[in-house]
Amino acid sequence: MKIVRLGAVSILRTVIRLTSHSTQNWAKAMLAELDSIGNDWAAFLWALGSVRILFVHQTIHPMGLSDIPAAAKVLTDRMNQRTRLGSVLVSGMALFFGRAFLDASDTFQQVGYALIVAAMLYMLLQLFAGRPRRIPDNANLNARIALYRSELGRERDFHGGCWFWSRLVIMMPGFILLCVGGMIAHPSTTYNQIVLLALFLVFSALSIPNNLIRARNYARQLHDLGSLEL
Amino acid sequence: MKIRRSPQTMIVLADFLEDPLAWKYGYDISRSTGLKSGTLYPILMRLAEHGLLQTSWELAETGKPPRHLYKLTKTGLRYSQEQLISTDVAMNQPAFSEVKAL
Repeated sequence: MKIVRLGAVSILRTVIRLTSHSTQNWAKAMLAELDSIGNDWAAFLWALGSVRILFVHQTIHPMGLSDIPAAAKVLTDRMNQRTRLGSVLVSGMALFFGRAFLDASDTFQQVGYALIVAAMLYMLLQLFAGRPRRIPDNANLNARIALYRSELGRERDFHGGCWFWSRLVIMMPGFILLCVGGMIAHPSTTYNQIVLLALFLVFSALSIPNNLIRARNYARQLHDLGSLEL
Repeated sequence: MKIRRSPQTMIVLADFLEDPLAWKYGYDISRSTGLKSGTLYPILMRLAEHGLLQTSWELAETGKPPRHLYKLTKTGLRYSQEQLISTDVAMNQPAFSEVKAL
């Protein structure tokens, strides 16, 4: 097997491992198609597309109480996936910035790197605290409804309120100090530092509506659950 | 029905309407619509999530992995008909009249 096709298979197998149970079948479906793709590079591009599946959030909107165990399963799968992916990303960034701290050229940058690492550790803590609770396989419907309600509430709080705003605010000082330190230490890179800072601020600003919309969706699902129980 | 009515979704629905009763493979849909896998599969996932698409694993021939198959459900057919009737895509569907008759 050629290296390009091996790469395609590796990508798809990694996606299958990382994706949630509810979307795993789709990644397996994409893997099953590989044998039908004759061209190796086309197979590689096909496999690259599977990465998007990791970011597709499946939801089940329960139409009755009997749908709740399935909806709870999809929700907890997604929370598990976020914990796994998020932990890998955040840990990687903490290590990267921690290593960069050792090479920082001035105090501003050192403090900036240290604050970013602290922010990453705080995010790791939030991810750990936001992981789904386990429920025994033989739990009855009432226990599953209670779990679903509590997990919806935790997800709403994760994407809105103190949880979200503290995540956002704690990231700011580190990046700002880092860029300011970069401008002072290397004046020739001022333009690049400003662009970096602007990009960071734009992405931070974009995360606000994104998270608040999710928080509102979870609040609506909680409300719908209340209506179903009446 | 809360599903994003993007041009790509309409293209996929139109492709299914070409032969509404046939099961299709993901790669074949990708080739006939020109959509990349990263665009196509999230659409298929959304359609299935909303009960518009049924999926099945084909029985594997010896030595070959089973492939995933897709076909519109009856609700999916009705939905596609409703959505595409207002678009130019619908005008170009030779099988559209057949779907209406279903």
